[in-house]
Amino acid sequence: MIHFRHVTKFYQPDTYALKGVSLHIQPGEFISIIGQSGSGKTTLIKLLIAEEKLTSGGLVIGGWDISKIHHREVPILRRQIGVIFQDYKLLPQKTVFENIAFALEACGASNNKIGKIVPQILKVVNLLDKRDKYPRQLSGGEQQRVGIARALIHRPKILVADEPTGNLDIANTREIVELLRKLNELGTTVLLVTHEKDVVNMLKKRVVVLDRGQIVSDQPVGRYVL
Amino acid sequence: MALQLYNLPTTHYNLQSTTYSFMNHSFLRVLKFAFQDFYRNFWLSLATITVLVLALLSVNILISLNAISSNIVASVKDKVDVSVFFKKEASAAAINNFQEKMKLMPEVKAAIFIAKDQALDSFKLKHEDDPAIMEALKEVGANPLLDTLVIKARNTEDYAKILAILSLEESQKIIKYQNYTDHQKIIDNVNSISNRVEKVSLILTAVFSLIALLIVFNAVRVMIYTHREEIAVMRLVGASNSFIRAPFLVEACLYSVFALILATAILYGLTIMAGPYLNSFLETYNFSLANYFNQNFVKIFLSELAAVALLNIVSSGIAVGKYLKV
Ligand SMILES: Nc1ncnc2c1ncn2[C@@H]1O[C@H](COP(=O)(O)OP(=O)(O)OP(=O)(O)O)[C@@H](O)[C@H]1O
Ligand SMILES: [Mg+2]
Repeated sequence: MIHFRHVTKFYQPDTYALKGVSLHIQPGEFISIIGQSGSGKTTLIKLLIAEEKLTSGGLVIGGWDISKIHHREVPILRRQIGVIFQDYKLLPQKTVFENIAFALEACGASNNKIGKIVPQILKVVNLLDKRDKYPRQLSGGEQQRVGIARALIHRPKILVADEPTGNLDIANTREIVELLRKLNELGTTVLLVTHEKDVVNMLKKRVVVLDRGQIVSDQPVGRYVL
Repeated sequence: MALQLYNLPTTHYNLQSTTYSFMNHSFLRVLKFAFQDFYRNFWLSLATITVLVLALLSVNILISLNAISSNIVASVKDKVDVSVFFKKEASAAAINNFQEKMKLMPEVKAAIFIAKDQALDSFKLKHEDDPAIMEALKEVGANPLLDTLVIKARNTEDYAKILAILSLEESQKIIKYQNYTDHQKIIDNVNSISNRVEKVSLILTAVFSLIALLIVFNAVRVMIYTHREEIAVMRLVGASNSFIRAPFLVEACLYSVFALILATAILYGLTIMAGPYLNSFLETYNFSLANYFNQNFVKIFLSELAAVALLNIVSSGIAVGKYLKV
């Protein structure tokens, strides 16, 4: 499904965020990526959605060579990958409902469909009563849940979560992890980036450890080993 | 959180199957986004519109000045004519013949014959209240005035040619004198002034338009700059360039329309307020600015709308494009 081949990412002027990373992710897999701050986890995701170009190496997603993707085709790729961003990336001028709806609108879904699906997902992330609030009126955890809802709304084939539980309490974290697990059981490939030991240990899935831009460990049923 | 309620339809939205529905919904969606952005950023919208209004007003004031100056020049030129006074012994047929000949010249706009009796009547009427002149007239007895032909050229430059005809020996047989020489200086002055006015207003128009253009371009860029992060986020969640861009272009049109309506209202307000002062100055030239704008309303405002909308659309298109690279 996702194939990183000797991927290197160099940031001007002097940072190698990734150095020769090779990683193969099967369809339907649930993979956790852990690593210290600055080890290149977010960079890996940026390459995945073509937010950044690789410096060298190859990246193939579902048979599609992303390293040579045309600017015009980038939206097509992104509509099939749901991303929960570390810094939420909500639209400040839009309400909770509109933020989530936007991902569907960008795909061209009908208003009818949007009116039906968005309240459902709002219920899932427990934000029905905040649907008409703007992001600035929400707590960090609430904003994070809006981001989660937006990433899930169009049922992407691949779900990428960059520290999705960074701002959530234990109860909410547990529920989000359960949600990710459930989606994975329904066939979604999940790539989870996290700092949290408990989360990784709870999952009992494949764990990849990044250190200064290189993979130092890749275990099928990993435990948190930093 | 109720997991069992997460009950989405099982079909995946992928692009191949949704391109057509994108077409169906996008137009209303784009309109909705444009209006939303307009009123959610009300003060910024207002600031942008204000800049547009000021640009439009300065262009319109320039148009007014152009209209006033060209009207003054035209009416001064219109006042210029040549009066040809015929000798007493010239026959009616010869005079008539001469008038026809002048009328046939392409340079001549009008050649109006004033018989001496007619001239006397109007002279008497004009000086009715002046006993000294009336007394003098009575003393003279016979009509002291001459048959006259008033010739108007299409262009002030054409008087030279007309004068050449008048000074031909053949013409001079029936002509006593013509008063053209008195006008020569005035005509030269008017011509050089009108040339200068034309040049100055051309330069002014170019400079003003350039300034207005740069100011509008910059205002639009600032407006879009405040949206740069949103534009990037939209890209990141899979919106296509055209879907992101379209609402901004619609908004640009909205700004243009509002700005034009406001500028027009202010312009009419100003013309009405300045009317009395302008009129006392322009009366002699038989010119009203309000009338001028009324007569040219469609032409002026449609072209201004087209220019402003085009400028706005191009500016925001360029400005948005800069942030679409994500
Ligand atoms: N746009 C950029 N320009 C230059 N350097 C960058 C840029 N983005 C990231 N880096 C550098 O690349 C390295 C990897 O960054 P990355 O964001 O991938 O780390 P991370 O593993 O996600 O860290 P964290 O856990 O703190 O989110 C860091 O050293 C960072 O300073
Ligand atoms: Mg990160």
